[in-house]
Amino acid sequence: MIHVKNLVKRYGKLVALDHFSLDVQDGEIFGLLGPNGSGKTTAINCILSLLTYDKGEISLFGEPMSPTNYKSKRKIGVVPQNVAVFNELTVQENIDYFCSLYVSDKTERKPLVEEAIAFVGLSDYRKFLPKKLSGGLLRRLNIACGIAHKPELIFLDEPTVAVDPQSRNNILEGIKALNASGATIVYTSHYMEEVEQLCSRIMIMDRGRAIATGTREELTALIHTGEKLTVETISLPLAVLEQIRNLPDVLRADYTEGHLTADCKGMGHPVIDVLDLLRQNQVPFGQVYSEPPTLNDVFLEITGKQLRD
Amino acid sequence: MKVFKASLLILKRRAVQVIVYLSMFTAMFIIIASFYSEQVSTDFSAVRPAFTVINRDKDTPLTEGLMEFLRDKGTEHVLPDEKQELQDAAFYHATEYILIIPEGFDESVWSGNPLSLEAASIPGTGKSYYIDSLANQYWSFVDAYHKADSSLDRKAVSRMTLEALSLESSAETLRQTNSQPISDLYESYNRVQSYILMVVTLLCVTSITMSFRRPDLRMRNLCAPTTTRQKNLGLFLYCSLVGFVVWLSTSLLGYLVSLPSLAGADGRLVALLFANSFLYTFVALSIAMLLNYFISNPNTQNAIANFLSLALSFLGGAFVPLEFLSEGLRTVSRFTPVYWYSEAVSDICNLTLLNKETLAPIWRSFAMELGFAAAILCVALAVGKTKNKAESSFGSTRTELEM
Repeated sequence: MIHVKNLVKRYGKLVALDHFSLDVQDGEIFGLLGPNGSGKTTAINCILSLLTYDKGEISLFGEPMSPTNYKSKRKIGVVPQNVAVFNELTVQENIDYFCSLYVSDKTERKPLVEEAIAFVGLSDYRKFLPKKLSGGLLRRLNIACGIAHKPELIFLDEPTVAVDPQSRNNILEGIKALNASGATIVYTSHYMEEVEQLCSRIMIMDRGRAIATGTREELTALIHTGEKLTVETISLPLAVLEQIRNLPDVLRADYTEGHLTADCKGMGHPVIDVLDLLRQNQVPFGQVYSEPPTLNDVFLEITGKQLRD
Repeated sequence: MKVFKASLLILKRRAVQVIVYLSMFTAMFIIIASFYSEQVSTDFSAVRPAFTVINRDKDTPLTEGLMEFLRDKGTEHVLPDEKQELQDAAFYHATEYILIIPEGFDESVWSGNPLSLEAASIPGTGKSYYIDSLANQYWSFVDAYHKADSSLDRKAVSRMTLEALSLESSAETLRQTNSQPISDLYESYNRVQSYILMVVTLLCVTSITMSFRRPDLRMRNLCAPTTTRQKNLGLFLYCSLVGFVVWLSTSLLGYLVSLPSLAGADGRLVALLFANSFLYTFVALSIAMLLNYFISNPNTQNAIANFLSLALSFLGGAFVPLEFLSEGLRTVSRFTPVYWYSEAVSDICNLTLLNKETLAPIWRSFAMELGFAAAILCVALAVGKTKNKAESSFGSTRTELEM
């Protein structure tokens, strides 16, 4: 559905996209994950022909994308990062206006607008002006304006920024529902939990480059870090900590503020070995947690920095 | 049509400020019109100032002639030749002008070496200046006749002087038809209309363009399968409709309120005034198109629209006649479209005959207005092109650059 090859975009001396390539298949939720300034929005703007680029190829629905490719544009829905609605128009008028850019026929458009209002749960607010809506409701309006015409391909650019947890869950559920109804979704975010929860495939970006692409499992398999073990213990002799560090499946281990943390190697599961060691050395311990590696670990290992740096 | 309809909806929501301007303007004009007298008298009646002549010379035909001439123009207030009496009369304004003819004056005039007359007048009054100039005029004529023909005696010189001074030339204003001239009220309204037309057009147009030019909304609109031509057509239709409605409503307002004072006026002159304001609407629209590239929020919108409209109207003579402005400002005003608009209003209202020659200056002013509109529109298009090129990034893209 989307094919991008060797895309290069420069702002003066700054390279915003550095030989960026991307393939998105029909029906998937594709996540673009990266810190602020990694090039996610620039990539989307180039794909949508909102920005010119220096080099590369972009095709959508099998056709080269250009500002005048109205056939492809008709099948695309865009939910921009900033809430882009008219402050002077009501919720219903805003959705109707943006839908009318894609669907001219009023009778055809009316049920689409109603459906979009119901989909984002704004039925009680249809006559409200945007300034009367909360941040979460505004985000929902922003989404409704982008999806009312039932697009086949939807770009959602950080739709949950500055949204409360309840509204965020509503938005994420809505995106899943859109995907279930057949829409392909490109979702950008710097919240790794959202991307992990939502996306079938993920691309991690940094400094305009795609540094890894795959499913969540494929991405975590790329790194040496395995699961992360945390054990609550009141005290831990240094000798015992050294023994833990020397276990074959332990990559590194530390003890701080009553918590023993151990990063495990690849597919290793040293939980039993660690607990046996503590018991043998008569070290009392409380709760034990084991977490699988996260996308942040992937990003950390590949780039040497945190996703939210 | 989507852009056109959305524009109308946006205007509907922002209509309050436009309604406030129009209501205030309408109320002010109605109040002014209610004070305006329909029967403005154009008759002229000469004032008759009080004067006193103290003749310390003997009575001669020349001094008698002067007295006769002054009595014809003013009212004589007889006073004794006493200093205190004269001072009191001047202080209490019983007389406006006191002329003292010194002893031997008649002889000195006849010999060609006149003594100077002594005169006392109330400072800063036009009446005393008027009587003084009449007296000087009389003696100038006497001197001229005597020098021209020395064989004439005093009586003849006095008679001929009075005859010459009694001559009057009549002036008549010819009108092609029996119609009445355009009333001052309607003429004034037409001048001030340039302000309200400009400010309301600027507010209506920039309210819409300000919304559509928001980077995030522009981006969203550009994502849609709507051609630039369709979007521009929508905005063009909106601007045309706004311009037409503002012009028609402000023109009809002035016409209807001034209607009683326009009884008997030539309809062609009213039509020319309508045409003048219609052409000026193009100027207002083109300025609005230019301004839309510089106005980005409602606060600056109001300030800029008001400042520009007031400044242009002031410079162009809409509020204050150009004669009261300094030479420098008058020169500058020629480079403003309001100047040509006001010129056209003056020319139309002063028209007495409608022919090729009398209409020529009006056509010239119309052409200047259209020329200004075209020139400003060209600048607006050039600015638009430059700005669009520079805006190769939209809204959220900025965050990408803040690395």
